[in-house]
Amino acid sequence: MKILRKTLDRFEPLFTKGGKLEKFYPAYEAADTFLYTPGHRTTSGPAVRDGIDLKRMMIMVVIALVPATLFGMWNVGYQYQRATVDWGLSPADANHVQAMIYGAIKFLPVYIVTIAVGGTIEAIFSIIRKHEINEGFLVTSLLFPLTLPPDIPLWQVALGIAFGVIVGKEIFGGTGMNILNPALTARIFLYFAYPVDISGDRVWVSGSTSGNWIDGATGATPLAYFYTNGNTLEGMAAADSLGITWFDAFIGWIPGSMGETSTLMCLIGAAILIFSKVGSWRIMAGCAAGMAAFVLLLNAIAAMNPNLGADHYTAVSPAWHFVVGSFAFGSIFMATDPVSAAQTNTGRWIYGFMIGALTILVRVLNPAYPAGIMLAIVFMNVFAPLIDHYVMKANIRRREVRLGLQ
Amino acid sequence: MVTIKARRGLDLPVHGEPTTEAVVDRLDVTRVALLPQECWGAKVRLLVAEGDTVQVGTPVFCDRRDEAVLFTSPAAGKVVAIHRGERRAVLSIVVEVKDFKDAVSFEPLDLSKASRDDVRGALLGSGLWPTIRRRPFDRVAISTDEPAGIIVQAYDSSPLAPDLAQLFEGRHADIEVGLAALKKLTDGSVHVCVRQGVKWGNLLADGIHVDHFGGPHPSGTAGFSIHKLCPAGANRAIWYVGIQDVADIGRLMRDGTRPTERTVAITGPAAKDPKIVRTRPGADLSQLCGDESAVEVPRYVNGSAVWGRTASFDGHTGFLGRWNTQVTILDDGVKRDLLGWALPVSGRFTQTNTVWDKFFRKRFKYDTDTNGSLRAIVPIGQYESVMPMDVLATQLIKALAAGDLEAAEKLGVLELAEEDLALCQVVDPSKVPITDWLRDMLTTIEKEG
Repeated sequence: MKILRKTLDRFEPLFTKGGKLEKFYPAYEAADTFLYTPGHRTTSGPAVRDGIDLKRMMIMVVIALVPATLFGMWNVGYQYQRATVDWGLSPADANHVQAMIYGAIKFLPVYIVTIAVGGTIEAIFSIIRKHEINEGFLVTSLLFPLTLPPDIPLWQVALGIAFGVIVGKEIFGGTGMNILNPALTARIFLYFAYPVDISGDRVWVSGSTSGNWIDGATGATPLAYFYTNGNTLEGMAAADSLGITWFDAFIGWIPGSMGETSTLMCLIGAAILIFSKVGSWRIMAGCAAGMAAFVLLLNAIAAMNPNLGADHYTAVSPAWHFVVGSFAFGSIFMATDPVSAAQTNTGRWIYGFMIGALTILVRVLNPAYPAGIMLAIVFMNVFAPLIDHYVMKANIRRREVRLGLQ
Repeated sequence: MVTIKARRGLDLPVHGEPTTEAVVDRLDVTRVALLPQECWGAKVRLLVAEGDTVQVGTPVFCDRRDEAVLFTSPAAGKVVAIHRGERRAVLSIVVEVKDFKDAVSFEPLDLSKASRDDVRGALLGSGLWPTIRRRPFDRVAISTDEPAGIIVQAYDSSPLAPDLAQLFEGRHADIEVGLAALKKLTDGSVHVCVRQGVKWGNLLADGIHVDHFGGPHPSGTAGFSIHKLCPAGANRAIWYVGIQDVADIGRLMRDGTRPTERTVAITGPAAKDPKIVRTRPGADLSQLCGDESAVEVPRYVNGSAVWGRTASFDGHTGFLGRWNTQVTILDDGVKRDLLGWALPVSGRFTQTNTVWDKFFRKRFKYDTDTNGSLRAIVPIGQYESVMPMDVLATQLIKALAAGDLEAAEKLGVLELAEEDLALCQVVDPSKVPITDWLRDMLTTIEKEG
């Protein structure tokens, strides 16, 4: 391993000031500190430092995403088998190896395109700005593919991530300065620019465009079902319909984007994030509380209003809202992006609560956009600084009162 | 009795605690020095020249910003060197010690009759005034200040700090007089801050309170005490003094001598034999602990691992700091580890749970590695988790980073000093220079103020 270190040291002069490849220093730095700890000594301030750095922090988020990613790949394959071979195929009877391989064939190209295009843009910006390549992209580049349907055209992926990185992040000054979550910005761009490939009933299960689906197969998600049929759970669980129970939706073997169907896997991710203290439990809890509060409000309205009744969409229980769509994925991985979220502890609660409530508002009361959480998060990203502003004002007032100025 | 608890904070598990409570005498130092740069922004006017002989208590320099405050020699002997650094700033004034007995004698003061100005005069003349510091700006108390309160810090929660309650055993008479002298200096109250559970004898006069503090670091720092007991602000100066210095002040009042001893702990993961020593103020660290290090490249920190200044022997600052109660020795030989960021076990402590050593190790041999390179701030709540004060840490640090004077002032920068934000810098994954920003901001505010 000494050879590796020596090689890196030998090439270093090329990239430092005055070297031939001086401009590409960020690339050298990225490789060098990827392989070895930077080995800097503290020069000012405290003499010792904590063992965490941004690399470790971001890798924790990636680790938290691994269960959802692996399950998602399998699910893409399973859904494909279900739609093309046997609509009644139970998850246990699926050909798991084939499912995994098919899922990988669908997911990996999207992931690779994301890394290649987004990574290049990231590198170009860090060379122009003369700062080091930031590890935040590790997370963005994994989050984005997980939110896409399996058959998404790769050119759209490239376009989307380019838009996300440039408009969502770099024009604000790069990681740490952005207002919007870059992965979500990328997805929203695709959602509004190319709705055909990212919404509707046909895109959530692979293979619809190639025409291999058997009769009776549908790519409809439970969310879409609720929207058209209301709160008719037996109807949805029927084999000739979606064939989906609450448990199915919780485990996640249902049609949907590549990595966000499984509430269970998202909860495992949440446990990793909260345990490692990298993700904000306040935001996650706020999201859940906001969602539950708003759903219960709608339930109450449905119970009181005879025109709506127990079969109406507004009567769907919080437990169902929790497992369908990408509520869990969004509130655990997207809303907790530390940079675009609120940055005060009080603010985080408010921010999370509002996301939960807005998600349901969009989902249930605005029929045009079933994917409520995506819009809710970006909307609250924009409002996060305002929430923090008022939390700060309260703090400033308390301080003035203490000093007797007010 | 109410205990003021820090609800947030962090006790760094630094290896290298003194094994015994016995105090070892190391009074044999032959060089002592004054370090003007430890008073932030001091503009030095020298009152001695190289080669002059000085007594204990001879004025050595003063700060041109406040010339009434004299900094006097802690030893009798000869001024052998005046070291200067960048832009001719005086780094240290070194005195070769002859003895500690040849002293300027000061008048004892009968506090029952003395006025406020008498006490001020005695402290200013003897050179004990600089033991008092003040917020805002965390500088030596200004001679014209009318402090709204005085904090006496008898509890230090820094990692490996000595138990201050033990250091002043046997000096109760001095402390009693010292506290009475401080009470003369303020219309507000004097708060003695001690650790939770410490029994404080009946040495309380009117207007002197004992407050108990508990919880993790920084529960035992002047900044936290000030925040909880009497907040500082732009036009509200608060003074603070260490308990040893209060005893010294008491001694001066009682018999007119300026004490020439100071008890400090020599600790840290790279210390061969951590212990508590009784030594001289401004003692030469190369004599005091030059052979105490167990590693090849040691770093001597004047203070604790969380907050202290590096004392470099060749940079002419290798002397015991004026306010210190501990010297920390750390391993400065930082190595580059292969794939260090990816391993779940790396021998390092982290306040997050991303490195797992903390689950099976009680104490850590810290070195001076930053453990990462400089990045933009990504606020995952790390600052808040170690900030027990009602201060919005992330917002304040961002205001400091942006140089936003108005916002920083509103968010409470004036009541803070390096020791309060040091913990934020320790736990920061982005490794940004928070305490440097803080000092820049305070300097700017003071200048424009």
